Amino acid sequence: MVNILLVCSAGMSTSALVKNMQDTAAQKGIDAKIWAVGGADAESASKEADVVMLGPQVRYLLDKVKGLVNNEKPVTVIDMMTYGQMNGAKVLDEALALFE
Amino acid sequence: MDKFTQWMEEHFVPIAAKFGSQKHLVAIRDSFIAIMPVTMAGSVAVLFNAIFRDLMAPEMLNLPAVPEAMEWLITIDGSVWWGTIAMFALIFSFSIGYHVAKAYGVNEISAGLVSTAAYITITPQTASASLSAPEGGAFSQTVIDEITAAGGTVDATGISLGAWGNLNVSYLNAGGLFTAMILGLIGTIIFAKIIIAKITIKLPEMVPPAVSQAFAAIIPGAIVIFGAGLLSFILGKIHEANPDIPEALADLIAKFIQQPFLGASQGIGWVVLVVFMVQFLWFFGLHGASIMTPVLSGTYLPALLENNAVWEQTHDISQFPYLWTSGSFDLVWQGGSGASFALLIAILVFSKREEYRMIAKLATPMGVFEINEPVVFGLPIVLNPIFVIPWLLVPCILAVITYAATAIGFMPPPFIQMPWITPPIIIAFMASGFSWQAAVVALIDLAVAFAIWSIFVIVANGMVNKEQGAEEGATPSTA
Repeated sequence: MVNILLVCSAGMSTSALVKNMQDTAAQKGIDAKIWAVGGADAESASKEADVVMLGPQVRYLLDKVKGLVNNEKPVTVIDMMTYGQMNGAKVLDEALALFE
Repeated sequence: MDKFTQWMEEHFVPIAAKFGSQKHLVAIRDSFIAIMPVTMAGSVAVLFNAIFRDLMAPEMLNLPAVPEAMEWLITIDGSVWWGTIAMFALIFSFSIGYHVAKAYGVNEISAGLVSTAAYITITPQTASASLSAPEGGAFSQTVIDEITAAGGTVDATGISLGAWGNLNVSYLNAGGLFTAMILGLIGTIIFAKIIIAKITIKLPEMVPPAVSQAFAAIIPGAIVIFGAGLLSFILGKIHEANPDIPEALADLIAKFIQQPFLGASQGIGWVVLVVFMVQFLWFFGLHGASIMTPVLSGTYLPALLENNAVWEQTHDISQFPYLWTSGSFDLVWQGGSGASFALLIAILVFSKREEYRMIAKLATPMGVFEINEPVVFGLPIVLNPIFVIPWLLVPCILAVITYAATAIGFMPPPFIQMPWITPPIIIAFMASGFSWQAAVVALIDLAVAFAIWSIFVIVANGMVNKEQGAEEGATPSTA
């Protein structure tokens, strides 16, 4: 079981990507909890996450979120093109690679 | 162009990033986000009344049976409005205390409560009620004598009564927002610093954490609330010495900070600058609207709410104090920043580039709900040398059109807060109290945006994907 948290401004646009990631995970039979929150809720949500991924539009929150998890968990910014294409499979692969 | 964008990535983006993650600004932004459920409930109440009461009025649809049948709901709406939009600053004072405390890592609930208490502490306790003399006449001498004996003040035209134990709504609504923000920010910073300096009551280890946290907040909380009381006292003394200076902190801040600030924000130059800044930040892939929230919500949301208060009292658009409100931006940013809804249509109509069409198909369902990250990052708009021109220009032009249409009185300034995910044109129609004129302006905006975007989409048809390599190399390296 891997917990993947996506963070954007209001949790709206990343929720579309989350849906694609969940579909891919279900197809591949990967046991993953994937969800999206807005920047304001990143603190409490990051406690339950194994991997935190930021939308590129809030990449300025990277240092803040790294601080929230005390640099103990992988935190990364999703590549712009991958994000724009809402490429769930690629983001999921990246998240799993960071988890391992 | 490449050199310029590289220079901007190195110098401008880090500054924007700092601004976007500055903890006090983040706290202000989060405070506005957190009170959304409250303001939205109030907006729904206003919207119901706009439908069932105002739309049915004689000068609109002239269906008096509807407001009669819906009177129960109209009454409920009034109560909901009173508890939400009319109490905006009061509710905000909790939110700001909570979020500033969060930024400093101290107990949020205590800080929120202290911030609210401090806000009420500086709010005047007396309210005056005035009663006008019967039309064309004056009060009789008997009435004047009796009222004077009872403590009222009477002159030829009316009676004023000082009443203790009341809070005046004008201190609690959006008119008091700056006061709540400034007091909440400074008060909570002091609160947090005192806790961090460990000037607190210490309890033995075995006391449950909730109890010891509440005790830890006693001294800092008392200092902040007494500080607010002292400030109120000093202002009272200054007012006694010089009656020109308002007694209440809220009046002082409203007079010297909020009104000048909101007044200045109404100029077309500022509106275009704000629009441009949001576009400019997005061009570098940064969430412009989010970074600019302290400005957008701090100045243009109170403008909307104050218009709203005037509407509830007078139902007269000509008395609105503000021309440009947070709702006005929704005519500009149709489908998200950059009026990207028009871009999507332009691509679907004119583009011969397969990758553009693919992104547009993916992005259109989201664009309807004003979400445009797929366009910004997928097309991409970020650092795109062709689309930079319309991306920066179109919204500024739309702002000018919308501003002009509002200034000449063709459309009312928006005064109902709508969820930002409401589709284009509908959002303008509803936010301005079902004004078809506002919908027309939104349509004109969309048409202008479509025309300009189309030119650039057609230009892009002729270009090979040679910029692709440069874009991939420009992926930000914030890590």
